[in-house]
Amino acid sequence: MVKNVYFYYLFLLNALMNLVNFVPRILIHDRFRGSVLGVMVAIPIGLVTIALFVRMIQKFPGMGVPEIFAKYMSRWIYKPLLFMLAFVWFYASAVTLVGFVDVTGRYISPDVSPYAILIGFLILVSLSARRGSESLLYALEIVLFIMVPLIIYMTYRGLSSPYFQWDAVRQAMTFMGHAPTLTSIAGATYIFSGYANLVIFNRVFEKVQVRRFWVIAAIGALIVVMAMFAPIGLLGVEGAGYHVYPSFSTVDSLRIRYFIIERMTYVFYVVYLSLSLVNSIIHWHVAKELVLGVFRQHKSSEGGCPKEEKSQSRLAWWVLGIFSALVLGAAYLVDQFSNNTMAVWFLNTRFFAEMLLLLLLGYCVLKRRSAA
Amino acid sequence: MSLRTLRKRVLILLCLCSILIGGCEFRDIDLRLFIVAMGVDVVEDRPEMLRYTFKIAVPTGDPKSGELKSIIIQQDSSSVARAVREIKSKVDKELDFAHCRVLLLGEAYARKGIRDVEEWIIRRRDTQLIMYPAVAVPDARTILNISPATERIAGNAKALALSEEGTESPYIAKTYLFDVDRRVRESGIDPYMPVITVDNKEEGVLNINKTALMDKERVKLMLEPEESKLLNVLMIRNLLTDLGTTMNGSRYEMNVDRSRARFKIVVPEPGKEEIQYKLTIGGNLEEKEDYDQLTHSELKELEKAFNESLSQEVTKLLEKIRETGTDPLGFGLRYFATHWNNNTEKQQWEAMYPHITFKVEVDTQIKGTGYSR
Repeated sequence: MVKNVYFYYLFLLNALMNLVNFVPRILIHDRFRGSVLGVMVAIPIGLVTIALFVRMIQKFPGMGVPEIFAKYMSRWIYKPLLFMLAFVWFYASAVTLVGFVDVTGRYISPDVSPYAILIGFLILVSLSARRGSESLLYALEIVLFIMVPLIIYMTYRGLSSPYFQWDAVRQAMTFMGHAPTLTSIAGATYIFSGYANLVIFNRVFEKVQVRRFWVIAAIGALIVVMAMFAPIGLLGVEGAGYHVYPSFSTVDSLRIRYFIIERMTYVFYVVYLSLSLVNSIIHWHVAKELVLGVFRQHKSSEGGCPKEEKSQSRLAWWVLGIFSALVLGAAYLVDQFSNNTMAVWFLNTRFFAEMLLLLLLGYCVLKRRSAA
Repeated sequence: MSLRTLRKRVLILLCLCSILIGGCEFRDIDLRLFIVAMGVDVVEDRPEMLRYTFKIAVPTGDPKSGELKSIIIQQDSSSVARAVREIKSKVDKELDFAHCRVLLLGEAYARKGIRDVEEWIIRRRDTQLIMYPAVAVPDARTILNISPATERIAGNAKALALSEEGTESPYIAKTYLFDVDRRVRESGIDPYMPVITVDNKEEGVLNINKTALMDKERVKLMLEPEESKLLNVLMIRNLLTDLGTTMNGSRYEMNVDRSRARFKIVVPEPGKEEIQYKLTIGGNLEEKEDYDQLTHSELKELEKAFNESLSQEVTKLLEKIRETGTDPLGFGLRYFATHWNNNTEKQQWEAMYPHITFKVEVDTQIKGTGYSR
């Protein structure tokens, strides 16, 4: 059993991840079409979903969603649902990994074959995703402890740069009157959706308690504002839209004067590398467990005979193998623009998937109450 | 899974990884040539071609040995990307742009339009966005060929001067390539660049004391040194500089250590728009033409003299900038940032800017007179 603080880590990882991922690109793309208001709407939506989800999953201490669904729903409904959820998680990591390979090729080593990089990542991610939920959380803690100070440093450098144009930020703010687009709301709420990993990780929590909502609100708001306005301040309101990876270009515009390296990009790349790999590991772990939940025989699972455990372990290898193959295939098919389209699709479907998850969980809570 | 099979699997994985590494096309550092500066010029008789000049540092073991090795390669080509590939057949190692810190644009080229080269640098991955651009007079090639005797690392002198890492001169209008790029794209703010010239008295000395003001892509006007200094006072907070004035026929110079410029756009009624500048300047008296003692009341008078002369000079500069139609200080952007009518604000500003008036208010505070009164 782990402490409650790991809940905040899960949230923080997902939020920080989106400081650099496709969310800034989407928000900046819509900057003249309502993403400013979208961001503002997204913050309360994100908080309410967290609050609801935590309240509901609290009722099932030590249980993951596969167990909860198995207990309160008929087999024919919950199995396809688990599959769908697993797909959402897998899709999230696939978009991240494929985009990340693109970034590596673009900024670090264009001479190396992208497949070599991707295969390296896939080996790492699938081996780590097999670890237990608890040890993943401990690893996550360590990574965050190293990376968060670097992120704070870079944020400080960006905001304190004399080249940061506050007028550009204010100009973007004047577009607040436009009605928000669905994509920008979906994109901005994704910052808050780290909590959803509880569908599996709830197994290792005694009883999740979230009291410091103001911390979540403050960090989430700060990150979503940074994700959108830091590129605008350093690359211009118009200019930010011309960059494929706005956050990378933003960091490349910063210079570290008294340090062994001059370009901030390299520091940023390491941070992004760790965060996106850890994020992918966690997503794969969740997706894998959800898929295993489909195949598990819940009737006799109390006690769990060793034979079943062995078959589960073999099944996990298969699941991860198929995931890897799918990501490799995606990397082969996808170019820069279709990767972006995939990301937009993902953000929109995820938004509704999250709402669906809330509804289903609410249904289970009602069933439990009527059963009691 | 037993420990043994695990070990076997890990071993197989490691072997697989080593195969992958063999496939990498990575070149070691001793197989690379670092381009430290590049220049672009027009070719007189062929308008479709540009002349690209690359200064390439040849790595030496010990930077302290004082042995400087760099070569300059020139290539006429129809595009940058092509010029780079053409140059590759003139050298024996891989070209690397990751250390290219200086971009020199020949005057003739900068007056024609800089968009294509600027685009290439922003787009290419290993060129830094924090490169220092500058306009080179008479042309980039001449400037690149000059290596001042003070240069310790090949091609370093221009980067040090332009970055103000070495010298810190109030005449250098420091900028980065990302800054130029965003100003090119943004409406309501225009790019500027420092101008590097050959010093016409000393041999092998460069001089960076002018500023090129540009419309979106070409140089419109080059500000004289004193004007560049004033422009820097308006742009940079706490600029270290000197400012001078005359009172009762004698000349006074002040060492500025505190400066701040703020402006606000006021529209009292259509047709009477005004930009109100507020300059706060603090510092010490550094030089004085007559040798008499200065009293406190005289110091106060001197402050007033500074206020008046600076206000006049700055107004003149702002009007001169306005006449060129460029906007290096971002008045337009400020107007857009403070007005919410996004559809009409741009036309409004365009109609307003050519006849806008400036009101400059200076507040000088001379803290002391140095060691002698």
